[in-house]
Amino acid sequence: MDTIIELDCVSFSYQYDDTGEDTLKEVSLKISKGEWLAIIGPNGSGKSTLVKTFNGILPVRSGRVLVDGEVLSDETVWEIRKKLGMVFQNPENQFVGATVGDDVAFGLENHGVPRDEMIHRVEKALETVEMKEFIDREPSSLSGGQKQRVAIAGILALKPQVLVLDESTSMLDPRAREEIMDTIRYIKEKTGMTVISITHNIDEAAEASRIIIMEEGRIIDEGDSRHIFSKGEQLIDLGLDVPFAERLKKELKVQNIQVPDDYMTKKELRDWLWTLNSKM
Amino acid sequence: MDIKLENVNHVYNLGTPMAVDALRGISLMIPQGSYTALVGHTGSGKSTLLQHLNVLLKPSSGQVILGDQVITAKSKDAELKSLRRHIGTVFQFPEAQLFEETIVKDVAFGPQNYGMHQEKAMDLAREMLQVVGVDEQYFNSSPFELSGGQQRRVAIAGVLALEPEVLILDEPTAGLDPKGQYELMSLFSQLHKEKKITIILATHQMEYVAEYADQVAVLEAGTLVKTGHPREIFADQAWLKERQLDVPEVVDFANQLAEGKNWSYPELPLTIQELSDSIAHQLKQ
Amino acid sequence: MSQGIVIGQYIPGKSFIHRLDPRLKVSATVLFLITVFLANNWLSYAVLLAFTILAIFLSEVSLRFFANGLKPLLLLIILTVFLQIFFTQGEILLFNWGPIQIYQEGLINAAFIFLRFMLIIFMSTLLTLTTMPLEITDAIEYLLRPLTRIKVPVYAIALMLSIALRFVPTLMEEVQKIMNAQRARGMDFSEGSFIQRLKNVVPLLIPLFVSAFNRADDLAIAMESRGYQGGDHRTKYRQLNWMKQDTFVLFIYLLLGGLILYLRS
Repeated sequence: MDTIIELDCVSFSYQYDDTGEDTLKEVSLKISKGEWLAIIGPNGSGKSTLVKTFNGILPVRSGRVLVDGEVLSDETVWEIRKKLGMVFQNPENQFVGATVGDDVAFGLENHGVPRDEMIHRVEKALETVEMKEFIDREPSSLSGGQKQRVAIAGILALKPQVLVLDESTSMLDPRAREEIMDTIRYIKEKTGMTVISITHNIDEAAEASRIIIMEEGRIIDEGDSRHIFSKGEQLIDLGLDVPFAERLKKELKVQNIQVPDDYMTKKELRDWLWTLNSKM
Repeated sequence: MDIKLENVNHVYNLGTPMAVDALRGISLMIPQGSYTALVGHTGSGKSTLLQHLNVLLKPSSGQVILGDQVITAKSKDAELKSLRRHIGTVFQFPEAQLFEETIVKDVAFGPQNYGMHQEKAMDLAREMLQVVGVDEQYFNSSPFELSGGQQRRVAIAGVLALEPEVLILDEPTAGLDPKGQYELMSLFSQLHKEKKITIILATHQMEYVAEYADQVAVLEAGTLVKTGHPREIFADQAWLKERQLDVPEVVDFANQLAEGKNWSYPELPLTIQELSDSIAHQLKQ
Repeated sequence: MSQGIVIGQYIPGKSFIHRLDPRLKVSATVLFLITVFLANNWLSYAVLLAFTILAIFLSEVSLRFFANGLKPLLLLIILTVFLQIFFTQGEILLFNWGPIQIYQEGLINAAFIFLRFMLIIFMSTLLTLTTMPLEITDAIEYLLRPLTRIKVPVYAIALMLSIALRFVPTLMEEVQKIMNAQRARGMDFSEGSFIQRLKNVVPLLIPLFVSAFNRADDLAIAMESRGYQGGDHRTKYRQLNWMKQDTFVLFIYLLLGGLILYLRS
């Protein structure tokens, strides 16, 4: 499969960091077109720093970043920012426009899209996130979840290839979180866009086709959810929750029920328990 | 101190064209030493209700009874301040309240407002910082140098330093990773058990409601639609679903299991331990 | 829970005045202010007053809101009017009482100053009552556009203004939240001496500044990620539509200015 983002031995350190240690330590990573990648890891492990090197918000100290075959440089950075949209954590702090419509148009204005096309794209993007009837509303009259949907629309309007979610649902209530995930799933299905999400939420991580774990500025492991979730109790130190089935299995072992050691989903565990019950 | 709400109504911007009915006819009893959970969607009135419990707001009509004090629309603001001392509130993202040069000074701010001598307040602050698990090496650091999770703990210590009888928690774990959430929730549970502090928790996370609360109040559009023990509330998954409210994962899994042949529970399990007990019980039959 | 904080004084409506182009409204208001300073006799003031009353009537906004616009300036108006009455020297002495002398010229001057204040306040209040703050920003951006030739960053200033307006409700809510949190820790914002009250602001202002800086940081990152790099190559989503009635109204204002100039004695 084609590679959309490639990191080649990337290191980065914040200037104000006086520990002298790099926040990213020679990270290499390839992300394929159309994949859904989740990035997990404890706070301060460099997840958010990592994704901010993708579009040059944080310029790397050494190593190379390639997006869609182009090396990230001063010349290519604006083109790359068009291809790669980011939704951040705090819904309030990324709402630039005075109204929903203005906010969605902001990126288009920056890239000099003609007004006629802009109006069309704004409407279409708002339709996709089901916020069209809010086009004239001001941000103070929207909920956090609605603001995040507007942020997503603002990115969709630029027709990007990659959508990066930097803990975008962590400040939302469960219903809003579910709505955002529905929206992302819908967009993914419709456009085949590459999705990269940083998350502490296990259900969100489970959506991904691949999960990478970061710790102290390095990628320490990667794999599908089955591989990563089989780490069980360790996950809690990696900024994620322990999957429900794993927690229940542990308690069942205390009751002397011989559950299999392999990772099981909830459904698998339920079926296994049913079978066991019918044998008794 | 028992807390009682009797037919409490609250209208924002009363008497203006922008008046909003935020609470309607709320009656609720919160006994001393209980752990009450408030659930409901954003905008259901949870925050407004909490602000009545710590008397930041007065009811537009009806009354709030804190111990032997009755608060009505006519109560004087001056009387309310002394009441507030016994009721600590951890607001959503409480780290927003930090302002002092050092974290010890910040934690000591509350008690000093109630007239405690500075040195005594600083001692109390150090004690509370230890309770919430902030390392001593940071005591004289600026609160703004700490990580978000540490700031949250300092803010909570600042509330505990009031030595409240009642602790109000408004989404206290919002925005933290699961580990940070567990640690905070078990801290509150410990305070509840050891110091007999009454806890009132507003949350979206039903896992915590099931695990810790002995009473749940469900709010919808400013009215109290149901109160009861978590076991009663979560027993009716369909009713909750109609209101787009979740059940804890344990309850959901138990319900799924019960769809199979020959499964039954003597009692709905609320925690992983209870679930595992009842599975073991089932399998041994 | 948001309590619907209103910024500015804008009263939504669909009146003739509401529907005018904000560029017209801003320039007409400026024209009117200049015209007011040209007036120097009773007849001019009568014409201007009639004109203002007509404009207010056309805006369909209740007079109550105009009175609100007057309130903060009331003390200044009264003071200026009294200064005029007591300190203008003239030829016709109306009242002499020890050190206080009141001349007819003083009274007339005071009346003119009073009228001038009223006209200016009512007309600028009319602008803010019938035009959204954002529209005013758009209009100012457009009208200042020639200044880009002398390297004034008009676009950046306009964007800054509109972001500032957009964050007013956010910061108001933040103030409320921080005040509640500090009140819950036993703080009383309304008690004590003047100095004490001044000190009370610290636990409110510091968290507010910290949060504003954090927000600014986040906002800058979000804006950059969405391709913002300043400069004037940006296209615009918002568009102002100059209509026939705008030209018509501009013509009327110019006529009014000419008339007042003609009436000058």
